[in-house]
Amino acid sequence: MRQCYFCTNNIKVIDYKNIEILKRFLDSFSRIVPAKESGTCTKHQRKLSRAVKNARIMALLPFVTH
Amino acid sequence: MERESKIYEIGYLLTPLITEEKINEEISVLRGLIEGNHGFIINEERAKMQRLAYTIKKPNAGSFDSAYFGWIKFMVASDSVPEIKKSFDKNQNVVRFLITEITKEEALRKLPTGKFIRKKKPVAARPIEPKIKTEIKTEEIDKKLEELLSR
Repeated sequence: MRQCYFCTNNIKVIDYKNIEILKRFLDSFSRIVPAKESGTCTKHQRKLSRAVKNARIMALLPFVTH
Repeated sequence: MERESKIYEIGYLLTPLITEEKINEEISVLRGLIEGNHGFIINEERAKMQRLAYTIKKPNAGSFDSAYFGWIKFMVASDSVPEIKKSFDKNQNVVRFLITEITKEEALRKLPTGKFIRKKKPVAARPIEPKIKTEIKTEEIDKKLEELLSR
């Protein structure tokens, strides 16, 4: 079982502006990778999804990539 | 009734139609909107030109492929937030904005949070070798050049 990336790196806040980190959790169509695949814990997956969605609203990340 | 103040962050996109020189004026207008509603600015990052992930279409303003993105962190009573929202909505130069509530620790951090930091391995001290300067004579250079040219 993979360990949660945010727990292992002791990251408490997931910022929507930090797109470099968020991009790691997106697939080739810019969809959020499920926690099962990425190994993210439930608590951080919730925060991550919020951050990705906020970044999409601000056009820092795409909604879809064709 | 006065409500407790909280810390918020506003991220905004300004139209790329503004020139680089006038951007500071526009930011001070936005700061004024917050301070006008009794907000106290804690931290801020100047807007920078950025390519957008998708084109944003705004009625009566056209579509934008790039914009100036910046953020301001501020403290304000929670009942003033809707008014700040309204004033940002009215501003024609703001393409889009997002107000989020943040924690105290986040407010004081300058860099974006959660930056990947790789732990550096301690480097074993290497003895520094003194660099030996050798004087090169011009005659030697001439000789070498002649050799190269004669090939």
